Amino acid sequence: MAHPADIDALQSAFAAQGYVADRDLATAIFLSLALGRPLLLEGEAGVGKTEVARTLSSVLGAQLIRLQCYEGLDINTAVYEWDYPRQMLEIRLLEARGEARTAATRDIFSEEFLIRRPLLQALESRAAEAPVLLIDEVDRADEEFEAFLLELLSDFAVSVPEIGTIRAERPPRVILTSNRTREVHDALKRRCLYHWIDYPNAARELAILHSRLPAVPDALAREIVGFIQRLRGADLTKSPGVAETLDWAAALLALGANHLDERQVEQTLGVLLKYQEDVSAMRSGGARTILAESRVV
Amino acid sequence: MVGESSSLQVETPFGTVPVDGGIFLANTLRFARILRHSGLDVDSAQTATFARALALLGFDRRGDVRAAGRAIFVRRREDQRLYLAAFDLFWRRRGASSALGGQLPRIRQDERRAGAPDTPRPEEGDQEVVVAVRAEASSAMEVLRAADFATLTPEESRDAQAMLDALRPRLPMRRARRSRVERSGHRPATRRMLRHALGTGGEALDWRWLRRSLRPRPIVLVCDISGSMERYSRFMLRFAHALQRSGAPLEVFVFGTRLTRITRELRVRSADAALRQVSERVVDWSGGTRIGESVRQLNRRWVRRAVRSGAVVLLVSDGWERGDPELLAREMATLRRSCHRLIWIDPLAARPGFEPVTVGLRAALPHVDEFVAAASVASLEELAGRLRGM
Repeated sequence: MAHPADIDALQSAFAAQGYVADRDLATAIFLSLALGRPLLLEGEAGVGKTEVARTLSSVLGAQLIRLQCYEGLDINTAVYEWDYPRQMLEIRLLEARGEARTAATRDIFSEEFLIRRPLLQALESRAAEAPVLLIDEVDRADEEFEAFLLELLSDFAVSVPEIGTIRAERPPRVILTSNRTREVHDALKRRCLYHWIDYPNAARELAILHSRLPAVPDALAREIVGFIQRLRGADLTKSPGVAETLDWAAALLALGANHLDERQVEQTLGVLLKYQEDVSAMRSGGARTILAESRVV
Repeated sequence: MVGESSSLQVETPFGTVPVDGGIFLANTLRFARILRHSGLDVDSAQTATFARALALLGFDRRGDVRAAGRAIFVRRREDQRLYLAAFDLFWRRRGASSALGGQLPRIRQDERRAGAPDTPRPEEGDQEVVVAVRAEASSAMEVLRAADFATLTPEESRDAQAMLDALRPRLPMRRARRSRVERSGHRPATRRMLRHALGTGGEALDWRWLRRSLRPRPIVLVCDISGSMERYSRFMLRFAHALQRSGAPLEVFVFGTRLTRITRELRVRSADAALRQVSERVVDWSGGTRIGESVRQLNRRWVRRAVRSGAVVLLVSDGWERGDPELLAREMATLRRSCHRLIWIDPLAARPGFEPVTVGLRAALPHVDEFVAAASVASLEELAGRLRGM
């Protein structure tokens, strides 16, 4: 599919894929496509950052290439690596045939022996639609790697010393996400458009819930959203994200709940809260209070 | 009127769009300048991107223009507030209607009076906006920065924790025993030069020097996690995490009724993960307090292994001692003798009308090098900035 022509088109294309994006987020995504700039998404865990990339790729009909960042991620795992075992075998083979002397090193360092990691895949893609490159949780990678990313995102080219420079014909659509365990370097941010994804408000969360789990009856969905919206205001180590809302709704649906009752809420708290302190705070009365408050509204 | 403004072609992936150049650019630049003066880090590339975005989106929907600017000018969540305030103030002043397009004629008239269409003329009103934006945005930040941790809402405390995570402490340094080989320094690195001279027939061509290097001092943070400290200990451990990430050799202990070493848990990179591990390991969150006994355990078990003589020890507690104050005094004296600096940090001391009257404080204070009141992001930032001199 071609680019959405304007923000409205993008918003409805996303909605058709089950992603309810607010107007601001849609604007950021639209601009990132239109201006050809990477988009850095920050926000608490579970607000749907990664999902943006996934949805974008299906909206555009493009391949999604994902690079999960972690501490110690290096060029070898992110860009390319030489297939050393195969190279060794090749050398043995050449030796056995008595050609080892005549074969130049370039025979071994050719594309045939190159293992393509996500970033190189994204640059080399020959598909009609440029791929969507998701660089997930960039805050987990080391700062050196960030510096490398910066280079990559400005030129969309990498140089492999033995082969030469590989340049993207069509630059990939880049989405970076960060959970903000540390601040992403300013120079990298400078290349990107930025959007902070907040927890959705009640109306939008309800829309998300309906769109993702149409089987949940409206009354229950409203109760769930009301409860969660209040829960996020409580003093928790980690507030539940949208992902947790969906999991919880699915869990309640599986238990055959028609409305929220205290017992079921307490039984299923583990789906919502992932820290023992939070769960025990809610078990010892917190959940009851919130349930009562959310009923009043 | 129309003849005055030059037409500008803006290239977009959807083709070239003609834009009413003079006015359009003048306003974009003026807005960017206001943002910059308000304290946002805005560069010309961003301004150009904003101009392209505007050309693309048009002015029909004010919300879209606002969102576009937000995606382009804002680079961290804390700046959102400032940007939104600036946007609203800037465009409100240009006319009450919500559509920017409707305001263009008015701006045009302004400009005709000014003469040159595409040189943004200094506007007396801009300064007003800058002042208002600064006041609005910075006051929110500064209030949070200076607020006592105990008074924060969950939302605010998340922001405060993010501020602590962004802290870059100036570490206390000490001279290292070994020298490093450098290109300049105090003494020639004869050994290394001779070794390398073997390759050039005994001729030392490449001169190298020895330089005494500085190394960060070890820091030991001992944090009270008893009930009375509950609202602070979480932030103090965030602070510890910031120290740790800055590269200082750091040891962290927590105590309530007994001392627990949590250095290893805190080594995990993310502050959240570290705190989770800590709370799993330490059972006496919010129990009683036995400071003297805990310091005794520190002296007995850890001083030689973890504290070492060059260390700066930061002890965080409100001094609500349930145990024997004599013991506390004795152990504090011992601890002071075995470290470089002993700093007592008391979050409650930041409250108005504070007097060091708790039994624990009175016993301990004669034996500390410095007593610091710290209950907010600002005070911890100040402390982090002063560590180097300690």
